[in-house]
Amino acid sequence: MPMSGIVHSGTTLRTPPTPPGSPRAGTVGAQRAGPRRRARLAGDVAGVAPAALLYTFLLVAPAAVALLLSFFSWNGVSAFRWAGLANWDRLFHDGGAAHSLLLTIVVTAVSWFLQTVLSMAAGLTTARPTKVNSALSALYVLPLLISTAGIGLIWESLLAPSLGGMAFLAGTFHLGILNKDWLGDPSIVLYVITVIVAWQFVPFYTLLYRTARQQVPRTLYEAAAIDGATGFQAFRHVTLPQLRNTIASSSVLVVIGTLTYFDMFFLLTDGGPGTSSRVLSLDMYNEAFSSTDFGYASVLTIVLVLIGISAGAVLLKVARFSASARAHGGE
Amino acid sequence: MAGNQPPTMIVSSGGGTLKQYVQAGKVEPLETALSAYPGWQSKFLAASFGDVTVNGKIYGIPVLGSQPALMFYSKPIFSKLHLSPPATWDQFLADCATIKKAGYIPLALGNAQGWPGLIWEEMLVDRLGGPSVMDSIVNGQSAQWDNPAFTEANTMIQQLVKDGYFQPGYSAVDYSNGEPNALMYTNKAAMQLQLNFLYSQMQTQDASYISQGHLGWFAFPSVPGGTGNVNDEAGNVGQYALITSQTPASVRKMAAEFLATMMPSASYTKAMLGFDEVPLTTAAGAQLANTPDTSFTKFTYNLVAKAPAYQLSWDAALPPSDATTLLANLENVFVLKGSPQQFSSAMRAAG
Repeated sequence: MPMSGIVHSGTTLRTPPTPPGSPRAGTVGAQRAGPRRRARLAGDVAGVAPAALLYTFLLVAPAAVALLLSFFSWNGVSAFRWAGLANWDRLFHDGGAAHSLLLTIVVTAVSWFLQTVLSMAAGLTTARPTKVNSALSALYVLPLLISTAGIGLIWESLLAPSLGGMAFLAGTFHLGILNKDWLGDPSIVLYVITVIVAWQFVPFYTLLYRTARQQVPRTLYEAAAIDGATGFQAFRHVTLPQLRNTIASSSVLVVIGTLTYFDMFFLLTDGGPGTSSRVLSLDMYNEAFSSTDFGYASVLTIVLVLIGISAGAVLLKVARFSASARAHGGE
Repeated sequence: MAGNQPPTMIVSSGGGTLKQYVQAGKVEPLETALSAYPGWQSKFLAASFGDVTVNGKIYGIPVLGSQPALMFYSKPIFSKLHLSPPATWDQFLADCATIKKAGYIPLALGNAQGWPGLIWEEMLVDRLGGPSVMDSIVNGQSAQWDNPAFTEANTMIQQLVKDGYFQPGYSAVDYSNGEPNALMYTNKAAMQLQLNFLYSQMQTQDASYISQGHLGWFAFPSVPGGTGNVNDEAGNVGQYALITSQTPASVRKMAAEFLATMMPSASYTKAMLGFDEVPLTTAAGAQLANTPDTSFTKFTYNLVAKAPAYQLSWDAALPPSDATTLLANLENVFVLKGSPQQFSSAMRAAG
């Protein structure tokens, strides 16, 4: 009933204002503020409603359906058959899913390190507004303009073993080190894709770090210089603490983004050779759309969502904790 | 289909997916609708209906050509090295050794998707153990994954890998990107095991390779000691039209009659032959001489018409979940990541 508060608001105004601190202030205040609060609430609800509706239908509802589906056996054409906990039980005996989870964790950890270090380095070195830096920054942004499908195709043809760009370089300039089976060697394929993913996303985080660095007050560096800080010390005691929030948010984005990242793996190897690059998101996709086992795929989906949410929560908590520790003088 | 609003007809290769449809009551057997056309099946080749027959009832009619597996080879490389198409596995291995020694790639392969490697497995297991090995697995006897035909076939495949007969990086190459064929028309690779569609793809990729007579072909060699027939085939047996159950009976009858009369007709057969397809119709036999690529079409048609057993590609024959597992495990065999024994035990555990 969003309008009711407004209708009643006229009557409440008749009560004379009571000075704060008087014994009746509490009750009268409550009488006055109640409808107003309700009115504000109504406004809030109306404001939030469109987003809440979208969120409900595009996120909560599908998640609920996935949860429901995880208790059924369904192949896309059959009737829904109640499976109880069978799908969930399978999760704990599924070596394939465990393998995929491990790959996902490795990719996420390596991605976090690689993307954070590279984008921080690129962002900080191009932060000073000179002509060269502006040109460099424009160059860095280029990968952001290419769709994932485009990037996948470009790298696939660059890395094609016999007729690809790398093979050409290796042959022409006798660079044996480039003559690798980049996407076909089970021992390196996961890292090759991780690097390509970094190539795709580092530009975005570079942008974040560059802007964050530009917002650090110059006085802090001047103070550090007066105290005789070296370049590294200034980085350690001024830049890093000032970038704390940027590091936290970029870390959350990298980690959650990588946990659920699917496109590049699907495009470049489809999880192969064998299962060497079959990360959990791809495993889920395969269970659903290749094996047509939608019940078990839903189990994997929920596992992935839970891991993503917990990882995000933990990261934010850590970032907030260390921020407040710093506010209280701890470092 | 999943949305429960199927069209009147759907196209399928039969096998495991069809079984799912039948179990869910989504498609109709054709006998009733075609009661007015007795003997309609006889206008198609014998191999046509095995993969669309469930519980003794036929559910599909071939609408597109068959896609049998065969070995393609480079005539320039073979003639330069004084080789002729090998008839046995031992000759084949000897030829591979000669080709490799001369600096060429013996075998082109694009195995990123797993199915091109599966053709090797299908042909070798059939040559070694006959069609009954896979047939019994398709019928639910997963213990057959331990059949020695699998271990032997996988050992032979891994020997080809260890000898370096496939081009470097074959496991990451997507066949559809054209690289395996390019290795042939750029005179780098000598042979490629593939389904017959390689021919028409080669025609768009490098028509001159075919017009100059450089592309040769032969049937998969026999394997000494194996119990399978040397004329057995594997591949995509057919593409079938299935008729969905939700269609009203009168429309179903109309659709079935249209398919049963139009698909085996001489005119439709002629049109298919014009695209280098291999029609599964008996009418094709008389028309083979008048096709744009007569010698190739004749060869592939006879592969299909004369095969004592013609196996549907296993990734289509098996239920979809087993097919996915099979392709992943076989890719592991091809990159020496899993031993033949591991392949068998992993497949048995999955089935």
